[in-house]
Amino acid sequence: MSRTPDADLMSRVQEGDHEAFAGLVDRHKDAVFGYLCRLTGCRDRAEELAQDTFLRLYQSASRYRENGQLKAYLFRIATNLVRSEARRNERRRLLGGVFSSQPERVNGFAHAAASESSPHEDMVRIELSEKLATAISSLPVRYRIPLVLHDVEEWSYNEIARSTGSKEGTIKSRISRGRRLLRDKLDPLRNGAHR
Amino acid sequence: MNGHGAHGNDTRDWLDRAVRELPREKASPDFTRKVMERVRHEDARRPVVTRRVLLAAAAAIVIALTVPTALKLFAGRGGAVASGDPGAERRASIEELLREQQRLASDLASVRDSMEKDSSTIYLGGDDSVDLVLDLGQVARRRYGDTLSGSRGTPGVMPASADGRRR
Repeated sequence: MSRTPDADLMSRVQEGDHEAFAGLVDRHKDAVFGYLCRLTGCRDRAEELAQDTFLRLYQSASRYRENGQLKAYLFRIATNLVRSEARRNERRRLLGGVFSSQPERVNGFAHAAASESSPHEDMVRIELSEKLATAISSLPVRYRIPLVLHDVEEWSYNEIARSTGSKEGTIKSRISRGRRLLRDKLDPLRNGAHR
Repeated sequence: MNGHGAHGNDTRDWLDRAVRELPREKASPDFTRKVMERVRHEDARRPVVTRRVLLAAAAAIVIALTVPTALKLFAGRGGAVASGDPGAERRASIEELLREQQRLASDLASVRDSMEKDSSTIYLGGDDSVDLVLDLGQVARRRYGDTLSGSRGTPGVMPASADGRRR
């Protein structure tokens, strides 16, 4: 049985079809949730933001114009939610550190699938995976978003530029800068991972 | 990917690989159910908002319709106009016109009376049989019409015994 296109489901959602919307949520939830996990470094927060993302989609369904990019549209909503949250956190931090400005720690993330390596190598890999997730989620949001979209979600520079409303050169530069920051954070682990 | 992994830098190879190998997180099994609960809650909330918007719109329309009428009422157009009945509005207009006509007629009558009382003449000359006088009241009557005057006569020519002859 062929899969109902997103566009058809969205048309039904616009007519108030809850079942169609549940179908869309099922289809895109892992992608949105995974993306938000990488951006936030926290499963619980990612879950809340992913729910918010789908709710925003539902609220704006009547205004949605199909162009075959529903997933990109969802990612844009998710990105904007993370940006808003980052701005809120920054304001809180500027208000005298009453609230914690530390990024939430990664918790409960799945570990990398065990490879055919030794238990020691697996341990190092798992540790690296957790450290890397934490390091990514602690990057400034302007580097974090393009880096995750490119290196994790495998979007092209052009797609990221269009989605974020930035120039392609800016995106390349931010990804490069984000990687440098990641390397600085993760260098202490590097030798261990290679061993 | 866009080929950024193809380079000779060990650190970058390592980082690229590590990022790519990050496990793909999956949403919880009840994720869709939770979202749909929020959707239903949203739907339940939405009609209230719609009702509020409708009420606000209705109130705005009522205000837009009543304020100009009320202003007309205050300006003295009468209660019939406020009712919005076209027939009543016409009747009110006719009544107002009749009142205005009566007022004008009354004003004209008082002007005529005052002119009758103050009918001054200027003696221009003459002999024993005829006096030439300028009747200012008649001049006014010619200017403003007969409605002002009840008396008629030959303009400007009066018997020698008439008032205004200066001897």
